[in-house]
Amino acid sequence: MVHPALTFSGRDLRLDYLCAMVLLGVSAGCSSSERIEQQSQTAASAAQTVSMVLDAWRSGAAPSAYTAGTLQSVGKTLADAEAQIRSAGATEPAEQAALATAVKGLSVAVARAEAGLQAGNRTEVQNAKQDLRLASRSLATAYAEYFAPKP
Amino acid sequence: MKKLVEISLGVVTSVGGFLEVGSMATAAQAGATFGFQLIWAVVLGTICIIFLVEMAGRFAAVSHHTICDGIRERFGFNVFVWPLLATLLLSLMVLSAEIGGVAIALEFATGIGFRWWALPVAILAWLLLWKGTFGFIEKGVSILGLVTLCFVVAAVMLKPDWTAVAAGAVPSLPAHDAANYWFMAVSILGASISPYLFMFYSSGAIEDQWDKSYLGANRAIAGLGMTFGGTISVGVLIVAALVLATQGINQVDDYHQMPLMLIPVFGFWGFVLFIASLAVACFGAALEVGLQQAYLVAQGFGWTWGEDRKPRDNPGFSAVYTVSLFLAAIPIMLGLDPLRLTIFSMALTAASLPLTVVPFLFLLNDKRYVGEHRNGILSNAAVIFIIALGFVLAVVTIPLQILGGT
Amino acid sequence: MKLLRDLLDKQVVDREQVKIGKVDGLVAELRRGKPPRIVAIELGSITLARRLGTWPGRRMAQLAARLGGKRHGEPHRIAWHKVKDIGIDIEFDVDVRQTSIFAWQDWLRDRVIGRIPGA
Repeated sequence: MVHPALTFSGRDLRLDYLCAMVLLGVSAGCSSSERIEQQSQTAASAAQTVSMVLDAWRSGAAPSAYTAGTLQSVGKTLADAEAQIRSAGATEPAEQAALATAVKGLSVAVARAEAGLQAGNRTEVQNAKQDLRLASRSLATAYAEYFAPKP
Repeated sequence: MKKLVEISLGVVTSVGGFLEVGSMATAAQAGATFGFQLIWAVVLGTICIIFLVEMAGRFAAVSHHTICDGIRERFGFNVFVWPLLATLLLSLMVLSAEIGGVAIALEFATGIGFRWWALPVAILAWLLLWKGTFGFIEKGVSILGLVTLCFVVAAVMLKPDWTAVAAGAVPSLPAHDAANYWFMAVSILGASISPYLFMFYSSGAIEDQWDKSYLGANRAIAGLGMTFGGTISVGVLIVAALVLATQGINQVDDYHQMPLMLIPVFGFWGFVLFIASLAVACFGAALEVGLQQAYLVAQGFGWTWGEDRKPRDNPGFSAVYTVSLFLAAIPIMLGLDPLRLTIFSMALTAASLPLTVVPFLFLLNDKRYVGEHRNGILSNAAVIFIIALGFVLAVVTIPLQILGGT
Repeated sequence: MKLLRDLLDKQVVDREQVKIGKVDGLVAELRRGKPPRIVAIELGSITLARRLGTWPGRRMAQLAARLGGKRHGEPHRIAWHKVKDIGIDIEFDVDVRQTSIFAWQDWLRDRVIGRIPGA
């Protein structure tokens, strides 16, 4: 793949920027595994966001409206990440499916938290947070599996 | 004594002008994803803007021309038309982003979606420009803007490892996500070195009737004001690194994540302070950018300009800010994500720098304008550096926009 | 005096120091065997568009004539002998209210801006 940045690099650019461009060129070979890596990280970061906002809500530091808005928005991010992981070209279908399932688990936990929040049910939110933690853990495991060195 | 008051007021004003949705969002993203590693970009951007603002002020004080007048007069209309169009268009995007920033703050505060706030925010900003005076806007914005100091307080309270902070001020190559790293560096630079800032500053110097006796004050205001602004940006970055990254939130791609920065430090008040900071900083910037649009057009075409005149005596001028504000509200009303718009427009700003900065090299060395107050070697070196940086950024930004910005 | 450098694109004010535009163009008279002499300056969008090229110039003139009537189909001119002072701004001994330079600003004031409360 011809990278657009490289066509400019013949000019009098400084060395470190040239390095940056080369790095860019390398990363431009955006493979499906890279997309999966990216989306898994997005999902993990999104899950931590939910956990943090739920803690803040429980301690009364975040109002319900804001908390609900955040859950909704993160829910969309997670659904999108799941779809992207599923649609990425499969080199290791089993591991890829495990990742997608883990992200799906996060989505379900977030939806549960959202329902609990709407009902004002603290125990339900607490349970949802527990689900979230478990789903995060399985995401981490699936991620490690996916990127583990293969024999 | 009077000068001292003037300087401190000027410093406060420039702090208000410096911190806006762009610098807050880019610093938060950088801190969450790369820890302290991108502090150098904030520092570099701040140093560059100090030089440019000082020059813009000196040019206005000595030649009694704004930068915009200077470019048109020195280079002619056919050259002027390019920076004019680029700045107008980019400022419109930045204005949208600022309106979006206030709208998000209002969404957080009320739970009503940000799209519904775009028009009320634009109307309120318009009303202040319509009825207010330059001094009122300048001082109001800046005094309220001091609330953003809460990020510095939070950063200190989090007891960062200061040697690590200092190490971040030295540029280094990223260990991961190279494309993303450079894209963030570009956005930070774009957020710090914004053309509207130095153009507005030179218009302000003319509005406040500066002359050569202000040269010392100008230097102090540029240096101290921008340094304070940069310090607050670094504060945001440190807080993001210590609060978000340590919690495992290493991607800030959703504006909902931003208030979480201050909650662990200040509890519910952290949430309130974040909203207040975002709303005030963005609203202030929206006023300044809106006004700068009108200054730019009026100065470029030689119409009467000045915020202290009544709209009726200044129809062309008032029409420009009116149209700008309402045009800028449209994308937000349509639901365009303000955070994405912000990051995108900051990167483009960085790429457009050569257009607005190259003229500095000529204007600030032209005896007919600045006489004996010409640029020294250091200032010229700084301008050449910024131009070179701008060219590199222009070349790098577009591919990065495609790779890292999505 | 280098005409293009020292006059073109400078701020123009009338005798009451009202900013009326920039020196968008110069009208010079060519004289055999002698240097050309400036007879007037031009202001306004038509002149500016002509500087960008013949096509934009023609288009802008058509547009101006359609919007403002025949009177606006030609650029505004101020005779050079009216010049009073050349400094940061160039002052002409005219009153902008007696010219049609601000016709569009007046239109804007009467039809739009002036009708908004608080103007």
